[in-house]
Amino acid sequence: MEYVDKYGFVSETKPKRSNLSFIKVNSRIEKWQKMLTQWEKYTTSKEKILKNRCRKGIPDVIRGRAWYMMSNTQKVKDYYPKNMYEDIKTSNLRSANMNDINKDLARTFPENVYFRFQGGQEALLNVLRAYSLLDTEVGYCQGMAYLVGVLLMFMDEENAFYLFVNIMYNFDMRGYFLNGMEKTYLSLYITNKLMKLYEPALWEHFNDVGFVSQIYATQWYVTIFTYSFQMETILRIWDCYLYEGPKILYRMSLGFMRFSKNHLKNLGIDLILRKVREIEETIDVEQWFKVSFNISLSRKRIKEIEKEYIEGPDEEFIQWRA
Amino acid sequence: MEVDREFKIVTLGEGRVGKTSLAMRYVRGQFNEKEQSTTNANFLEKNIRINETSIKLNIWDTAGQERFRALAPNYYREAKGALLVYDITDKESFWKVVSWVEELKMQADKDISFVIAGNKCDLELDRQIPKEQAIAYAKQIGAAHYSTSAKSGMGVNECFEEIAKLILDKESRSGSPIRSSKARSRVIVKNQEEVVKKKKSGGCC
Repeated sequence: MEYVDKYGFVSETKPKRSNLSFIKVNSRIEKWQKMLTQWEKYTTSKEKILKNRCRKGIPDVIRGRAWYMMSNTQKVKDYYPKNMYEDIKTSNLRSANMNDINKDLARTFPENVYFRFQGGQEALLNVLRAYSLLDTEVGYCQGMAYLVGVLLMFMDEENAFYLFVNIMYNFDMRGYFLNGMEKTYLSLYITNKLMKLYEPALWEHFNDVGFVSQIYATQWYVTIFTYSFQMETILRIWDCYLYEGPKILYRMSLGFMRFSKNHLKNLGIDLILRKVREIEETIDVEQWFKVSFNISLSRKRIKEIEKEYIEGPDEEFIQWRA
Repeated sequence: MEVDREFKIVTLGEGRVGKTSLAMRYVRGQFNEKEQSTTNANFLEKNIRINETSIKLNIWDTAGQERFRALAPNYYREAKGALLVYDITDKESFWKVVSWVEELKMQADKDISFVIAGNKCDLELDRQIPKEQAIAYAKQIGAAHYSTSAKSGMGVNECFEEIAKLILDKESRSGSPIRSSKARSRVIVKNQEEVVKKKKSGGCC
């Protein structure tokens, strides 16, 4: 017996019912509809309310539009020539990355009914090809297809394209995908430093057994947590990410470890990664968020660590680098 | 279970040649027609027994795309064995194996053991790489070559176990005195059997 959940993912187990009541969902939709019509007000004087509502999760029917607005994607779209997406899409320009893109089409969300077939894969192809033509320095890199895939579940190709461009440039996802993957090393440095500051015992244990952050955190950052979590969980992270920005990645990562530490603190290297993957698949998103958002972590602190990494990194937090 | 030895192994090769599928077939005995594209790396482990030695294989299954090569050294460093995978229906993927060998020779553990797997040999009709060519190359670099199919399971156990055997062999040999400094670079071709056998029969499966 196969089941399909509301996002189109096929599984052998019956999808979990949402524990939100029908009334609650409807009231959230109404609140969001109201916010979208008074956007100006909610992004200025009522900013806190908006942020909190993002953290509670955006209703599915609103999500696409909300993401687009929260991330200021219209600005990005207006910056480029009119009809740019359609023009690139229908052009005969040759992308240098077609081979790599084609290889990943059928391997991105293969369990999803939309991406299993022509329609979804074609949309993925169009957006990825257009992006590779716009940003030839990055072109295409594994991981990008997942990001575009998430966007395509909630909006049309054109909006997905511009939101993706926005994420790449303004949320600095490009850094992860550029040759050399420099940003990855910076992010891992920050991760390590935060672990030592906030979870020193676990940090020490990880060091003892050789469980370095590259093993678990690279995928989290490079795919904005998309790679190995449940879709429901992924979307909740994106709801926050697209409003609050990339800093959220460090908070979620640290929160994950704080949340899981009792399961991980006694394990050796062989079991620890398996346990992490298991927790990823089953984590209760509300609990995880609760832990993560309770951590007092300022943008300023992350900025400081970034600066330190650039100006004179502390060897202790550089693991594994060649 | 008591484990005598623990070996770290990496899978390397071009994207979509079947690295994850081979590892999954070997460790879990499963084949998923719709395997996801890997980002960064997966980790799998398997306990095996070779002769009297019980061995735990820690398999790091890496992402294939060129860009991720920046992260690869962290996975092959300290690895005792590498499974280099190409897709027999994709010529370029074979050249990628060659370039991996070059990199590993320079950067990896001096004693690293190689096994080359020509995967997807259930698609024999679309073969682009002559088997003789691949086997001859494997011989050159002192590696064993296996024709594998993660789909059918053919050659899968054999290629992973061959790595373990090669590592064990090297370990026991390094216990004996080294005659000259040149001795270290001497390589011994293992599993001639496949080399000979496959040369005669054109196809596989």
